Amino acid sequence: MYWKRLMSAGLLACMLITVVGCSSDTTQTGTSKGKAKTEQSATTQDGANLVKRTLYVPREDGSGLQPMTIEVAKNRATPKAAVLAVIDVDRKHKYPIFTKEMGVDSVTVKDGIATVEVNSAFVKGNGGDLTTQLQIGAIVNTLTAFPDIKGVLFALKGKKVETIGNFDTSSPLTTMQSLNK
Amino acid sequence: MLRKLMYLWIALLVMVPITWSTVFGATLQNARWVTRNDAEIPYVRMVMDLSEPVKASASIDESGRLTTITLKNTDVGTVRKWWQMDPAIAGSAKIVQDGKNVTITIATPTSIDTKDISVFSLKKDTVNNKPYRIVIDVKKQAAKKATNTSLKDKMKQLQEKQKKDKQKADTKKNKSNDTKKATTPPVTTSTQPDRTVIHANTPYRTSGGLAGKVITIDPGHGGSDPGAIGPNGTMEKSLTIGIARYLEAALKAKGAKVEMTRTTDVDVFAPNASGVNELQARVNVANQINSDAFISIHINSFTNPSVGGIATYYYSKTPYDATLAQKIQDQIMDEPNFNGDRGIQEGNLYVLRHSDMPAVLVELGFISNPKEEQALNEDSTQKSFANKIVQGLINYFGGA
Repeated sequence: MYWKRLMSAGLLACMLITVVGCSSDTTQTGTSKGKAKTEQSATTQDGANLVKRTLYVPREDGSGLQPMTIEVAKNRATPKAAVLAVIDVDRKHKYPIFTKEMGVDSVTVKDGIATVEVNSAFVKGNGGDLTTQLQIGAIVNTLTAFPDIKGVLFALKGKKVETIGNFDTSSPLTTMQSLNK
Repeated sequence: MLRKLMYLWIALLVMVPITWSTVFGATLQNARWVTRNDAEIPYVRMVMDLSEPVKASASIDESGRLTTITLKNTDVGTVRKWWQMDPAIAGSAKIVQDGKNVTITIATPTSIDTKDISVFSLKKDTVNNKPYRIVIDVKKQAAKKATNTSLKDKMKQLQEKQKKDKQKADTKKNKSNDTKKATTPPVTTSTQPDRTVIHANTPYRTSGGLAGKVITIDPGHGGSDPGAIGPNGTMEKSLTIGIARYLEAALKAKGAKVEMTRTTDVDVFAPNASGVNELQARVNVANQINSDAFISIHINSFTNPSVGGIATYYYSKTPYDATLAQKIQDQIMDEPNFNGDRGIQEGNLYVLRHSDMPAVLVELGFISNPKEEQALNEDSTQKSFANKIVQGLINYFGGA
């Protein structure tokens, strides 16, 4: 069990680094794919400046969110990378809740509020209330685990999303502690 | 001898508060009043601060001009006994110790009946440092007569308002489409009108039995929005309206006044409306008629088909939302052929957050679970859920 967890964490860390390397985060514009790969390799070899990050991944039995702590290079531990890593882990499940159509374009942070720019598939919420609740919760709890993020808003084409499915997203959402199980 | 006397004195000092607290369950710590002119019908609100929760009852004398509220097993304490208030609504109040109880007698300039007075309790609020409270609201008479409208009239007004909003939305949409045709760049202005937000103008009631209470039932989804769809093609919107109809009949049989946000397969605001417009339109129905409780009916869904069970969501905007959720969940959780009790959960759901009265959203099983989907299609299951929700409401309001 311990080794299984350790391997999962290791795999997740590698995945996060890979995701970061390929992402077009708003804080890292202009980075070419090749260059990112070189930097990733250098950081990994260095081993220094690693930070711990907690991801909140939807549980397959729908009971809540599973916290997973990983270590990642400090300069690559961006909010967007964390969100994409959560979605990536979920999509490896037998019953993923983030559909292939759902996309996150960017995550920007201003005055302690993270704004997640999503696509239209994200805001429909047709998958049922539990599904929507865990989708929102996974993103919100992962982002609010960053020390500088206190609340999360969603945006579509630059405009604040006021509802996702039946849920009210008009004001910044804070950590949903009850979902962490 | 002196030492014995001292012990006796100390024992007496200790015993007096114990005896006092067994005589009186609570002490009236403070009283205050205010005239509220921000509602459609102005009213006088009296608030009694109490050391412990108390039971209260109210009665009106034959003339209709003296209303007496009794706080059971309460010590009057040191609060002022005579209150000069608003002569147009409730001119004065007298607070006296009457045996083990405290009575508050309010004099009104005109005759009132039970609909004009509302008495409800509020729990201790540790966050805002507020004690247990009994709140008494007395409505202004003349203004009430001038603006008194039936549930039907209010619903008509609301429907007209929402129709106008929809027309406004369509006009804006057409205008924006015209702009789109004329100019190539994408249109960035919103096609949605400013949403109409209606608030209840009288407080909700939480006790005194289910009969006479105003309950709004919201069958989830409908019209252009099917909700979740089961593995055998069952649409959530079809199940919610079926259960809602049984619930409406069962509630009416118990003497409750019922309003439905929709009675057929339609959108409440407009087809393909934004989430906010559609959900606010449902909330407006409940707020417009000053509902005492709002029940939104939904069926859950999840990607894993083995996940099932029954849950009730609430949003703690009043002291009663969680209580209402628990009372209903206690009844519905053990419905046969479902995967059991998922409990009550706090959820930031739009209709729960924006309704002015205690509200719940019940998730009656999972449409994504084939066994539960099949059970939900049975009339007997739908009726059973409806009857169990009614029992939960009976327990919440304290008897039929």
